This record gives sequence, structure tokens and C-alpha cells, in this order.
Amino acid sequence: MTESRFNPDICERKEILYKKLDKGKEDNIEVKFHIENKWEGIVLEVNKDKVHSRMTDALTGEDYEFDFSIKDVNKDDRKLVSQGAIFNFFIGYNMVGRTKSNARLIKFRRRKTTQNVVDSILDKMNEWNLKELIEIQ
Amino acid sequence: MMKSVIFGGNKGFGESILLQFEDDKYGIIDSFIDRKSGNPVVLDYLSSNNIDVAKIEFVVLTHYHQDHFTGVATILEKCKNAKFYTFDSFAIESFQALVALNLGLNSKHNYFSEYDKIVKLIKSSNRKIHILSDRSKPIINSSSVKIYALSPNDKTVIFLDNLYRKRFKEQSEGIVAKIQIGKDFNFQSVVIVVEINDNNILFGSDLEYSKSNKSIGWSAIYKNKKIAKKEFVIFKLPHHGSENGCNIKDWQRVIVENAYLKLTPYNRSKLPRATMIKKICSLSKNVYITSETKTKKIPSKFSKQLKGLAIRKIIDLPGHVELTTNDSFSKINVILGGRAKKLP
Repeated sequence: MTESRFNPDICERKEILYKKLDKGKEDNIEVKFHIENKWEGIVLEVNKDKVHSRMTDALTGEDYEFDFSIKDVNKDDRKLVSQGAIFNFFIGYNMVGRTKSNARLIKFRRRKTTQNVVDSILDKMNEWNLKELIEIQ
Repeated sequence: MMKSVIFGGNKGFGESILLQFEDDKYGIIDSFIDRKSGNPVVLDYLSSNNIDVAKIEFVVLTHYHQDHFTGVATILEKCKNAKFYTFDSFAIESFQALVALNLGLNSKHNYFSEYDKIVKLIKSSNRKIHILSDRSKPIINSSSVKIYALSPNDKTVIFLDNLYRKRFKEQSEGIVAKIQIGKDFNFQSVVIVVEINDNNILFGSDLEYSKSNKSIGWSAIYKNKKIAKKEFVIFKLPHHGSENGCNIKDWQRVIVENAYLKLTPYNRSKLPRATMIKKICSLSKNVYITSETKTKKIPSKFSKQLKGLAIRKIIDLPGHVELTTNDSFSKINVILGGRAKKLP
């Protein structure tokens, strides 16, 4: 497991600070995260603070293995890290004024809770109607 | 003559078996997709060996893991004469609900759509889903060949029903977007025996031993009188040679000396591990693995941004082990394809 060199919490705090500064427009500082590539990952295993995952390149469809530390995930998302959890991994760069710096971000997806989830499950089960198809061998 | 071809993909993608049990009769157990062709590996093999898909008599899906089911719907679509067999609990309501819940999540990793495809295909082709268990009738029962299931048993179905309900609750009430990996789905596994003229072959699927429940998994199978005195000449080792699927004493009891042992890798869990390979090779001189476990460093395009991170590209290095026997099993011919090799 390799510890990454970036601290996502510091990155986020910096972004908040820059955004505040940007609001005033006094220094004309603007932070923009430019995405160069995106992967969609799934957590396969969590062992203490080590996370083993599989990722798919959003553009090429190629598959990767990615091992990271839970510390690489921002504090808000750490409670979401569990087996089967879906996340996005972005790489790119931050532009702060005219300064360019490499940046990367792991963002866990949250479930969209809708009232009709149960309805859609029941609809799907009715559509399958497996009782008609089953034959006990 | 009897032929069994076991295909394995690198990095746990996956495991598939083609059986030729009579001159013009074949069956398929599980499936995975070849990344280059986009087809189920077993269909590519049939095509390159000029074997008519109409000769496929059955397709078995042993359990619902991605490295065993991708492409099953395509196989059923092409092999129109094939009957479809699968594990008991495939159709119970708790599993259906869990699958339907997972279907609702939009993700590249959402592989639950295969279940939907299989059911739709079975419906549209007016076929049935034949449920296999330790009590079921043989899949094939001719004068010279008998093919039947040894698992799962009733207690496993109860265990799985509780598991599905628990997973459904966790997932539906959680705040994270999640896909069921189904670690314990290995207990769904249908273990299959092929008997030909008093010679036996055992296909172990991914079945494991349960540490807490001796009435399910391999412990239950080895208690079964059906295999108490069997001596297996060929054994597809369970669960990619993992420790959880292994009990050397049980294996020694049921396999012949220098039996042909076949393995597929599963690199998500780095299987088979070196210690297990050593144990397995102590049982027989004839141990074969379908493919190697390798990864590749990240391509240079993003090397700057990814420096210091443990990211490896997954490369596919599939292979197959083909065993052909004569009627008496006195002669077994081995052909290795792709990255398959003999161990150690």
C-alpha cells in the first residue's frame, strides 16, 4: 500500500479558502479543477485502513486495480467506505490564478433514496414472474 | 470418449467448463467473457473447433458471481436446444428482491443485469429454469453417463435466504451507493459429478467450507453417502484453490493417486496462494492451472498524476486445460492452451 502524497482534507480546506477569496474577487484568485481522466471504482475489500478496489476507465473501459489508504478519502466520505461501495476517482489539475498543480480526488457515491424504490423492485419481480418458469429438477 | 475443457481468465475473470460427455453431446458449466472478442470464451472455442451450438444439451450456472455468469444469457440465446440449470435459491423472493434492488443502481460495475437478461431469455424462448440441489434428479442419465448435483442442500437455502434478507436491509437502508459483491454467495455453488463407466469427475465450483456451520458447504457434501466411496480421477478444485475451499484430508479420501487436478486463478484475493499450490501439488503430479496472475504498471499517459499510487492495469491472460479420456479412463490426454500450465 502506497501512501499518496496528497491530503484530501487539506485540498478541500484550500478550496474552501480559495472560494471565499474568490467571492470577494479582491485578488482575482480562481480555483478550477480540470478533470483529465475519470475512473469508476468499486471497493472489493477493506482491511483496517487499507482499501482494495477495482476501477474501470470511464473513457477506454480498461480495468485497473487500485489500493489506497482510507486517509486518502476525505473525512465526510470515510464512513461510506465499505465492501461494494461505488466511487469515482478523478485526476487532473487545479488552476489557482495562473498556477497549475496536479490534483486527484476520490469521491464516494451516495444512494439516491426515492420513494418508488420498493415499487420498482415489486414491478421487476412481477415482470419476471419466476413461479411460472421454475421447474424443480 | 469424454472431454472436459476448463477455461480460465486472468484476474478472476473467470471460469467456464465445456463437457463432451458423448460423441455429439455437450454441456456448459458457467461462463465468462473474452475481453478481446466480447464473446463468452466457451462460444469462441466451439466456433474455432467447428462444434455446432445445437449440440449443447445443458448450461449450468453454479452460482451468482461475476467470474462465473457473464455471458450465460448469450450462451442460452445461441444454444437454443440447451436446458438451463442453476442453484436452489436463484428464484427465491429474497434473492429476487436483492437483485432488483441492485438493478436500480447506474454503474459500470453493476453486473446484476445478467440475471434480468437470463430470465427474459428463458421466457422468450419458452424454456424453464431447472433448479438444482442435492436432492435433484440427474441432469443427464444415460446408460453410460450420469451427471448430477451434490449441492446445495435445504439448510444452505435457509442460510442464504437469511443472508439475502440481511444484505437487502443493509443496502436499502444505507446511504452509500453499493453493489452486492456477495462474498458468501459461494455457498450457492452447485457441485457437479460426472460418472462415466464407473469413473468419476468432480467439478467443485466455488464452494467453501463454513467455519461456523458444518451442515452447509463442503462439510455437508463429504457427509453425503453418494460420494463416500467415490474415487475421482479428475477434480476441478473449488474456489480457485483457496484455503476456505480446501481440506486435504477430505480430498485425499475422494481422489485417486495422481488424479488430474485443475485450477483457475482469482487474483482479487490473490488465489491460489503459494502455500496452497504447495499443498495441492503434494497430492498429485498432475496439477494444472488455466492462467497466470499478472498485472501491469499504469500506462505512461497519466504517470505524473498517478505517481505514488498503487494502481495497476488488469491484463487478460486467459488459457484453458483440455483433458480427453478414453472410455476406461486408462489414458488421459492433456492439451494446454493460452497461458495454461502444469504446476509447480
